Amino acid sequence: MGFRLSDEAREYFRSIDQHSSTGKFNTTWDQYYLCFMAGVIERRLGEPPEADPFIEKFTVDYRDQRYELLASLVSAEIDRKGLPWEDKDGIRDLMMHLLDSSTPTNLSDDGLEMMNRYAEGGFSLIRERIPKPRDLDEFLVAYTTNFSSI
Amino acid sequence: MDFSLLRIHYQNIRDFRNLTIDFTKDGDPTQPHHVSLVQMPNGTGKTTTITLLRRVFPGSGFEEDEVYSYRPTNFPADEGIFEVEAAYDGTPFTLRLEFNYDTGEYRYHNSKPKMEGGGLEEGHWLPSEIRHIFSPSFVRLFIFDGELSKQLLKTGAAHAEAAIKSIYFLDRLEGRKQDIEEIEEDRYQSASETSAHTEQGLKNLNSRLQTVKGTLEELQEQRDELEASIKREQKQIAQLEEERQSILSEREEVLEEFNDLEHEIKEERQAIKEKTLAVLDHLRKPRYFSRGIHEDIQRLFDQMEVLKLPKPTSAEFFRDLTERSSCICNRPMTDEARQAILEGSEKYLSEEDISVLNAMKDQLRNLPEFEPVAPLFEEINESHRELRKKRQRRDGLQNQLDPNSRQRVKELDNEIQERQTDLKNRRAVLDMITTTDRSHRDQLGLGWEDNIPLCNQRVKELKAKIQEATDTVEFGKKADKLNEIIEDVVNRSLKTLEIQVRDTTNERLERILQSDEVQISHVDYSINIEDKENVSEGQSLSVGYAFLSTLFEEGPLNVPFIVDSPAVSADLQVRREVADMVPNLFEQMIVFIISSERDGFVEGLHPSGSTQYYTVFKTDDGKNIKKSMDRDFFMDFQSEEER
Repeated sequence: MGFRLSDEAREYFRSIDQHSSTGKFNTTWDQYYLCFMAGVIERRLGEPPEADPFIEKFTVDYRDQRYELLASLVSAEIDRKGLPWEDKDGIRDLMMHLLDSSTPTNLSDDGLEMMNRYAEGGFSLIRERIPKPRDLDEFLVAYTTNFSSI
Repeated sequence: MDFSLLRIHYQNIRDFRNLTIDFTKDGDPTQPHHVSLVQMPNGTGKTTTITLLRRVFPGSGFEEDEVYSYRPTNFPADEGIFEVEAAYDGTPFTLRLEFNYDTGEYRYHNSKPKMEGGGLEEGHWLPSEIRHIFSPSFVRLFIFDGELSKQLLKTGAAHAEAAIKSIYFLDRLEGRKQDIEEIEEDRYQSASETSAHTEQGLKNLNSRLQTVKGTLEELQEQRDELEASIKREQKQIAQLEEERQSILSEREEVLEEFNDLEHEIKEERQAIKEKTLAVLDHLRKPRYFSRGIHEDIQRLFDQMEVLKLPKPTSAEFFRDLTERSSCICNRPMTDEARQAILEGSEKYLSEEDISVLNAMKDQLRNLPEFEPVAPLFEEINESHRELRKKRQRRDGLQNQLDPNSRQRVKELDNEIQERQTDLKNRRAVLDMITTTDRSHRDQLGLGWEDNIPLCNQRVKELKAKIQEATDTVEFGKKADKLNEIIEDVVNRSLKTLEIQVRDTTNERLERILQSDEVQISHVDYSINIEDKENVSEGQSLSVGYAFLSTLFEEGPLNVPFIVDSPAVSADLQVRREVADMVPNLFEQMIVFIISSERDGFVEGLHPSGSTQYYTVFKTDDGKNIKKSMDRDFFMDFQSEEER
């Protein structure tokens, strides 16, 4: 298991990697993260991507905030499943379903798959709302307008 | 050491049935005219003459097909003769080249100066003092066409350097490296025949060495070509930039502002890039991603606190408890109590699960306040606004130029951009071929097939193996040392000579052009002229000639200057300039021209010595070639195609 991003998503971002004059993504993780957050904020799940994992762990840019990412995933799932916030056992079980202290990511296989599905769901929203970008700044403006201001 | 050309004789060579061109003065068969003008219309044999002269002096061989190609088509002939009479330090000698049109063979004959009775003996011969000097490349320097003069100035082409090497015999010294290599290989070969090493093993090593050497040569050629093309490209870009600058500099104040704006635009673009990356970095933190996400995270943490997740006691604690005989409250552990505790323990997490939830809580405990990304975008927008303004102002400045100039500036911008990309690619390939940086090579996955230093290393390794196997280690080391010495001598000599030749050529140019406007800045592979844009084509042609005459004058041998089309495709003014200058650079000059080149060139000639006028032309039936030595005939002559 690892983090996966569909070929379509990677193709979508390729023009930024190739042509942007206003900076580029550091790693594929940046693209994955922006897709994931879009999916989480809109509670949109996609199909599990078939592409091979691009990495097994959080990259250095995200390592310090990995618990914030896990918290975002758990919150989105509580919300999506309609669990009441006071349902202690339900929330505990959900957390134990998604998390696993024995893996390098602290995510269980199911948790990792959910992250990948949110990323895929997020990508389909990005593709719907933002035409294929060329410059990074132009993309980030459109992206934050659509997702980050929510 | 003076060398002069006295006569050329053709017999049964293409359209020449029997013709002699004599360059000497009447009454003195060993004293040539200062300038001999030989007017030959196209198709008469001008190129044939130049080609044969270039081949006869070094004694070059001919393929069978080549021999047949000289056979006349208009009349029968079994044998052809091309003969030159020359003089070395005033003593005449003859070189005769014979073609056998039946067998396709060729033969040289010569008359040595000491031979009595004027007979010829078989074989090629030149006076011993010049025998080793007259290599094909050397001969090409004094029997040449106007194109070579241009080539000398062509950036990246190594003609100027090659000329210096040739005149000062450095090329011959370099040639010794090849000899050393051959001797080395012979030595390995003979040692291998007597060594204890298996013959097959050595053969394999030798064949591997040859393969690697072949690759090395290819890589070196590729490197030289790339270096030359990069130089050419850089020069080209510099010229385009200068042109662009010169269009803009018609309005100096406009240019200054334009340059400032270009600089500011560059800075603004860099600022946008940095600010964009700062936005991305900000968004990378989910707590700042959006207010909604910040609230999600905060709510989860709050709920974990409220719900006391995770509980401080682990499921393992209760399972351990049921295995005891009494509870921690000292009551006996009955089956009923054990069952109840085990059921209840399922609501507790394992120690590992507790640790991950605790880590999460710790991280989320002091969640900073939400910081929106908008202000960062505001900065980017501001930079974009500034960039737009500056671009508009820059475009406005360009608009102050006339439409043609504007169009040209645009074209130049595009071409510069394209060439810069091309240059970048070439540099990347060159870097790949030449890099000595190990980590860089590893990163690119380069092997000896791709990289010269690695290939050199491979050659050394294989040589060492062969030397070891054949007991010739010491010999190999000496050969390497000798090669190093030769290389060092050639490089040092070349450096000194390039400066010396430059200075003397500049003095000569100053004298001839009577000003110091045209000067050579330096000689590397080619001749580089200072402030090239302000030098006329005629002047730059003169530079080529001045350079060559310096070489011949400073060099150890005085030779005639035999030139085909001295001012090829040049305009009248250029022809006049060349004609005025060139003859006085040489003691004997033979010029082959066509009638259309005559204007400008002939009237511009003011040689210090005598001039003769030859016209060599086909008879009206086109089957024979005749000559005239009349000046008026020469001046009035027009070839068939020019009528």
